[in-house]
Amino acid sequence: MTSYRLELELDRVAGESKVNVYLVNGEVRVEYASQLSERLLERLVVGREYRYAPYIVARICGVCSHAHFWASNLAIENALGIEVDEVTAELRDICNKLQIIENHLVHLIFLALPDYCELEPEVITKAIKVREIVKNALNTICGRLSSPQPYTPGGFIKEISRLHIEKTIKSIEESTPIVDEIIEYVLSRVNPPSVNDPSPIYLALSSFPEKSVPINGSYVLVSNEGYFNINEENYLNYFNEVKPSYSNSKACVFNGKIFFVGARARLLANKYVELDSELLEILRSNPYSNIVAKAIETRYLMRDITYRLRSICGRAPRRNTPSKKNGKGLSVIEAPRGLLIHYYEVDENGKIKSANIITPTVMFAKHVEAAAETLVRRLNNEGNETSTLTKYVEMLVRSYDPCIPCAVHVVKVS
Amino acid sequence: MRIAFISLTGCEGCLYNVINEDLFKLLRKYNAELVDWRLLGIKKSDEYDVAVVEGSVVSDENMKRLKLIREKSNILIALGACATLGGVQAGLLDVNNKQRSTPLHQHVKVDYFIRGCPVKTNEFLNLLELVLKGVKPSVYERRLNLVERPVFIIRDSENFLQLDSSKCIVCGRCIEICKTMNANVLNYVNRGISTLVSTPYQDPFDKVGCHYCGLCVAYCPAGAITYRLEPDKLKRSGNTEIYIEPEALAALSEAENLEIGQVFTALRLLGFSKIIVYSSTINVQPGRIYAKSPVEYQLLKRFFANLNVELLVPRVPSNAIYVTQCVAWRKQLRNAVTTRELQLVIRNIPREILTEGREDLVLVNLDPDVRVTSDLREIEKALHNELDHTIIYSACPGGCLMGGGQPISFRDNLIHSTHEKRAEILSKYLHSR
Repeated sequence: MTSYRLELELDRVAGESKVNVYLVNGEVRVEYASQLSERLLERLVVGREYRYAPYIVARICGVCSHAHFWASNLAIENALGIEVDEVTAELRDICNKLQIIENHLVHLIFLALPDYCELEPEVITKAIKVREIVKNALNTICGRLSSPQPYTPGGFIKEISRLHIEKTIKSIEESTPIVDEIIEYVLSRVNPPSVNDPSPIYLALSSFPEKSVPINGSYVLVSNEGYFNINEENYLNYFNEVKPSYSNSKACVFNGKIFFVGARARLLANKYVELDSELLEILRSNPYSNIVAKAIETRYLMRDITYRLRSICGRAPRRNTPSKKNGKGLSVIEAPRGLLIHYYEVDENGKIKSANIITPTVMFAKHVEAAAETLVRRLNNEGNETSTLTKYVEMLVRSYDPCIPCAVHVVKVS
Repeated sequence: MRIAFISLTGCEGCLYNVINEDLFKLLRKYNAELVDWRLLGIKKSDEYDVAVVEGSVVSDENMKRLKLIREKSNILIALGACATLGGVQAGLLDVNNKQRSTPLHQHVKVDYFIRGCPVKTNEFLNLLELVLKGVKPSVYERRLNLVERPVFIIRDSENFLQLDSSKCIVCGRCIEICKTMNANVLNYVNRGISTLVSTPYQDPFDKVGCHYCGLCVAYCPAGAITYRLEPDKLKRSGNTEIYIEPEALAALSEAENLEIGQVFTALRLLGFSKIIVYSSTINVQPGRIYAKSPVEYQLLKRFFANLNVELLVPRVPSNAIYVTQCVAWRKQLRNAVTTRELQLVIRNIPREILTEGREDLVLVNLDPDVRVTSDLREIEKALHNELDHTIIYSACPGGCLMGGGQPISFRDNLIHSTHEKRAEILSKYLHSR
């Protein structure tokens, strides 16, 4: 068996995607291809008034639409010099964290865990219950889970009463022990197979889990190679996007290197939870361990949110207006699956001149391929059968939690 | 039944939103099986009965897949704005000539559409429940109950009248008739799609001034408002005498398509040996104003506080059954039953054995000086002028023939024609005496 070709259609992943594994004369090549058709949402924004842009780009992805909504609002605010008051910023950040928890829960229980063990119905019931509570919390602030529209650039247009916030705090506090039980269950069942990370370069926002705020006009990214100041002028020097011929989405490198983003990167970069060295080593070297990082993050964020909601309870957000007519703006936030970059240029008429969105799935696409190549090479040398190979490759891709609807929104704006 | 959840080109938000506890409960309840759902990793079979498709058709691959789905499925549900309209991506028709984002129904036949970006989970679940039951829902099915309605039941302190808002179709007929009767107990609450019918603050009926005319019950086409029906009263009473109002007789005869003589036979078959056609108007004194029932009495007292009005109490022995069209009397008198209750019993008697029978006694006032009216202006005139005749006030539009306890007419759907028919039967009967 010197050469073969495998086409794996992935399930339990948001969106249609395929992994092609080629083995020609001992050389391994893996292609990670998005199958979903291109949706070109970036282009749809161009020529429209800036305040409609967030509503359109929120439709990029139904799974993590709040992240897109928030990021586009932030970028437009940066472009037009709109200052946002503290309560608004905090509320938006809380929404994002609720979305992260909700996405993580779904990924852990429904998408990733079936790879490792048979799911117990009790756990499913618990997970659905907690997800319902988090969804309700998100509904109180945002109105709905997918495609929210509670605020525009400037501030909230939806009124959020103190009573609702208090109710939300109560329900989240009540569900915290259940989340702990679920996470305990996940951590006890997940046993990540070992594969060496071919390119252990992580990238995350330095301010996570605090809210994302630009310092002197630029966002600070942290990686194991140092700190990077990213702003609207220089971000394309760092992030180079290419469009592979086999896929409907782009792939991206940072400073010419393949890197990864997501829960694992956030945990490694900011070390907001104290971990023992053994676990830290696993997290650093094993791409499968993203699931573990997600579990730890969920547990942390549940407590974080209660604390934050208390701090803003009873304070009303204000709305602010633009201080200039046109400009360029960039925003970098931590979406559930990793870094999300939105860039907009607004002209004098208040219309969007150009837009660019780089999503987490695009960022780690190359890393998935590299890790899968390492894995296939090793399994092949050990003489494993195709079925084992298939299983492990699928598990690997799933552990990144790729989101294909996010990835295929893109096309170069001319 | 096997169900497949399939997504074409879209953001997957709609399918992501409908994953919840209620969906799985519903599937368990109707023994339905999920055979295909990529997001949850379910792929049991390629054959299915119901396909729920999200996302629009963009590429040829999408089109091929959609046609395959249509061939396999009996019922195809288009879920969300992308599937029903083409979605946001449809806005790019002119930019890229190669790609067009089109809704599903441009390519195949779609059975049901659920709109929204994202969809309302409740609306989808309600449709799915109907589909699983095998019911073919119509477009007007209160837009598939898409609003999470607060379902409540309003009662009164005696549990006599009740309004079940889950059955209400918000046609507003009860509100119209409640206004006509000057009670104004029922009205719309909320706005837009969440409009409901309710008493003020959902208070019990007796607290908000309902005078129990019962017309809302007669006018409700959905059975949302009901009074306590006790047809068993007729069977187990052991009473041998029955007093029946001539209006009730005519209404029953019209509704059940029976001759009046057949109604008497039916009553005898129920075990009543003495049948008396009785109207409480037989007791009136000349030159006075009477209220036919507590409803009229309350109304007259409300409008003309100084009016000298008397309540016409039916003088029925306590061991006899009194069949009346009036819900207010039905509520007050222990031995009263409404015509609707009698109708429920009579319906079960086979028509073949109903021969023409006769009543034993007729106690009806046919004095031309006694006028029955439902016009308040006539009462007002009487207040200022000398009264030369007796006035009996009957508030229900159409008089007691169309009272709240009237039977449901099965032979004609039009209310006005039933009134004419009933009046014709009544006058024919009374003139033959």
